[in-house]
Parts: sequence; structure tokens; C-alpha cells
Amino acid sequence: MADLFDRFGSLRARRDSLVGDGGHDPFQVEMDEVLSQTEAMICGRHTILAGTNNYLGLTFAPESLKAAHDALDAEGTGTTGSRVANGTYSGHKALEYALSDFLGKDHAIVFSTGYLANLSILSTLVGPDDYILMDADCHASIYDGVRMGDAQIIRFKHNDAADLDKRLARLSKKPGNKLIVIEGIYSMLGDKAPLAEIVAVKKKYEDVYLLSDEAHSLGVLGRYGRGLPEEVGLEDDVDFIVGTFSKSIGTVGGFCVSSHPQFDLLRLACRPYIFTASLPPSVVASAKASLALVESGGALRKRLMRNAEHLHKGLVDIGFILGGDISPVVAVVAPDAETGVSFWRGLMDGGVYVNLALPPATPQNFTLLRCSLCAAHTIEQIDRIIEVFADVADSLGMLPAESGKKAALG
Amino acid sequence: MSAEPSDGASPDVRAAVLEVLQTFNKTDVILKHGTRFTEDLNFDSLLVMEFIAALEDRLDISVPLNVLPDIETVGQLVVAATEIVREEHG
Repeated sequence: MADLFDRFGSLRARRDSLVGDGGHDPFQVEMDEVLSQTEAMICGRHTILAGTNNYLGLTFAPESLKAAHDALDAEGTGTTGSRVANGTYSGHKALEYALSDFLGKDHAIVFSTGYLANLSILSTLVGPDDYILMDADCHASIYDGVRMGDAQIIRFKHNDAADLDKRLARLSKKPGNKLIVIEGIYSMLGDKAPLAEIVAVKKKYEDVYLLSDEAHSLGVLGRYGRGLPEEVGLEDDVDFIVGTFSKSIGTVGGFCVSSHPQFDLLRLACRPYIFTASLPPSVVASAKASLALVESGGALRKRLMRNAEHLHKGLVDIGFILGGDISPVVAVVAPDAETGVSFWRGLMDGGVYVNLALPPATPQNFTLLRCSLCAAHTIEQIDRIIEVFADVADSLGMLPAESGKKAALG
Repeated sequence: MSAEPSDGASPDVRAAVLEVLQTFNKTDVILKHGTRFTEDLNFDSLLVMEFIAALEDRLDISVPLNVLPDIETVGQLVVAATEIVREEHG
């Protein structure tokens, strides 16, 4: 008899071959106890967290905790409703004002997750006669969003403005709007978009809009943490900025800001906005408090970049060759998925948690041991991370230089 | 796979598809109308993207991602590419 789950046969086989030996499963990690922004007990072991995207370490910021507690006590555990029904409290609107104010755009919409923000905007903003030109390395939420919509989808080569130019030129005779979709910092390898080059290409053509997903760069780049557009001084050239609260902001939720005068119409059109419950008041309150800390967080950004440089240099010094940009995402390439799992387990045994990322979720089908840093990491913690990376590479007989060659290409 | 169906596909486009595809074909499979990208040529999503990008450059066309799920075979791609070439270049 056919089983409903037979269609997952190849997935099951891959899972069984990679992690079916009863060893520690990279995709079923359980934090027994969270000790701080940078440490947790996992399987009874004191573990340094180096893969949480908690860039500024705001998950335990006293101001954000207090705001969340106050909202929780005053307004309860949840709104039990959609933003367009009973789920918009004054806190949701206040957060939207704070976001548009912070990012210098006229309008902001808050969504229940970053994933839903991308689903909402990308599935709705463009129609069947329009074109989306997306960077090939864009996040799954962008791929899912454009697939949900009706626009024609064109991918351009990762971070290749000349390739984008070529594709826009081919489309220039066609009617319809064009929306370029990029990310400020790409999540897997931590490389930045060449925003100045992309803006220059955009300006050559008519009816072209630019959307940047600043999920990994908000709070991280720019003097005030407004992301890549602030860092390179091109904020007015980015028409739509999408972001998340689940990284630098330290909670959960997503948003989009824009100065388009009709932007608010999307509230009545985006299905992932309409047909899901809004964020709980405590989450909204902590997001707003953390947003203020992001803006005044120059010292945190300095520590974060110091940590990024320290880890980057430490891994390079022991022979790993890493990708170009020094950013709070540091990805080491493993030669194959099996080695990746062994490496990841070695790191866990040494008390270091990083993300294991496998194809097809990775650029160029890399297997990645992806670290993300936190402003709250100490130099001692980072030295320990480097030491464990060296030990594991050694024990696996994995020549770091060999594994790194691919990273250099990426 | 001897007789090619008369589907209005352009011989020039067919030749271009085969020429570009052969540079991506890492198997011993001889390319035919019914050759399947995934099953016969072991194409994964990365290779599909690189191949389509090369084909776009060769024919100076835009192939939206939207059309790809319906394309399993070389013949289907030739038909789809022919349509796009006619639309974009007249």
C-alpha cells in the first residue's frame, strides 16, 4: 500500500545517510538552558553559541526586557487577531512609526515574521505583467515570495551588476515594472551587495524599483545601524527595505518600509499580512525598545566588527581561506556534506555551536559551517572557537587550505 | 527518439539549445528531443540556472523562472525558447 510519506523517500534516505547513525543531529539541537546571549547548556555541555544571528546581543537588553514585561502585564499574551481585524494595538502603530522614522521612509508595515514580510511584499507588489530581477543567492523567503506571486521571475548572477544590466537591457523594450531584489548582507557567506553598482544600473532604465532585504545588515552596518544603504550613502535609492526583528532586534517579526505614497494599500492586499495573527504586545514592545538601542548602538557595532575581524583572522591564520568581506557571518566550507556533519559534531563536542548549512540552501552547493558573531562575545570565547575549529580540522585530517579554496571562489 | 515531433520549434533555436547544452552535459548521454534534464543529465538546480543563463546569453532572450517547472525535456525547452525568441525578436 502506498504511504502518504513515500514522496519524501529521497529526503529520508539523505537524512538517514547523513545523520541516521544516532549521533548528534545538527537539525534537532535542543537548548537545555540558555545561559546568556552567547552561551547555553546543550546535551549537558556548556556551549558557546556562535550561530544565532543575535548580532548585537539585545535578547537580554534590560530596556527591552522591561518593555516586554510591561506590555505583557498590561495587554496580555497575544492579540488573537489579524492586523486588519482586532490585532493592531497602539504598540504596533508606534513600532511602525519608529521604523519609518529610523529608516527615513514615509511608511512602514510590521509583519509577524521576516519570512512573512518577504512573502507579503514579493507576492503582492508586482503583477503578471511585471518582472522581478532577483540575485541568485537570495534567501528562501524571497524565492517563496516570488513563487507565490504572478510576476515573471528573472535571476541574475550573484552580486554581478553587469549581469543585472544585461538582463534589464533585454527587458527594456517590454512594458511592465521591474523590481530588483537584493540583500544587504547575504546570509550564508556574509558578503555584501555591490549596492552602488546596482543603483547605477537601476538608474539607466525606466520603471525600475529596488528592494533590499536588510535582515542581516540592519543594526550591523552603517553608523546608526540602518544597514548597507546607510553605510554606502544610498538610502534614497532603495525604494523598499525589508527587515526582520529576529536578528539584531533580538525577538521575532518583520517589516517593510517605503516612501511610496500608496504603500499602505498593501495592508489590504498582502495575504500573509491579512490572514495571520499579529505579533504579541510583548514582542512588539521589545522590538521598539531594541530598535532604539540599535540606533544608539555604535559601541555594540564596534565590538561586533572587532569580533568578526578576530574570528576571521584567527581562522585564516590556521589555514582556512574565507570569502572576501569581513562581516559578522563567517562561513567555512566543508568539502562535502558527510565531512560537514562530522565537523559540526566535532565542534559540538568541543562546546561550540555553529550552523551547519547544506545544499540546496547554500550558494554554489557548498556545505557550510556557518558562524555568526555577537557583540557580546568576548575575545576569550572567540579564541576558544578558533581553537576548537583547529582541533576538529586536525582530527579529521582535513587540510584547511584545501577546504578553503572553494570559499575563496565564493 | 528518431522522429522529432513537428511542434513549430525553430531549427536555429534547437541548434543553439543543443550547442549550449552540450557544454553543460557531463554525462555520456546523447542529447535528443526526449532527454530529461534531471533524470538523464543529472542536472541540479544550480546547473539548471547556469545553463539557462548561458542559453539566455546565446539567444539574447529572457527566460523567466516561471516557465521552468513545466520543462522536463530538451524538446520542451526548445519549444519554450522558440516562443520566447519569436516574442522578443519577432
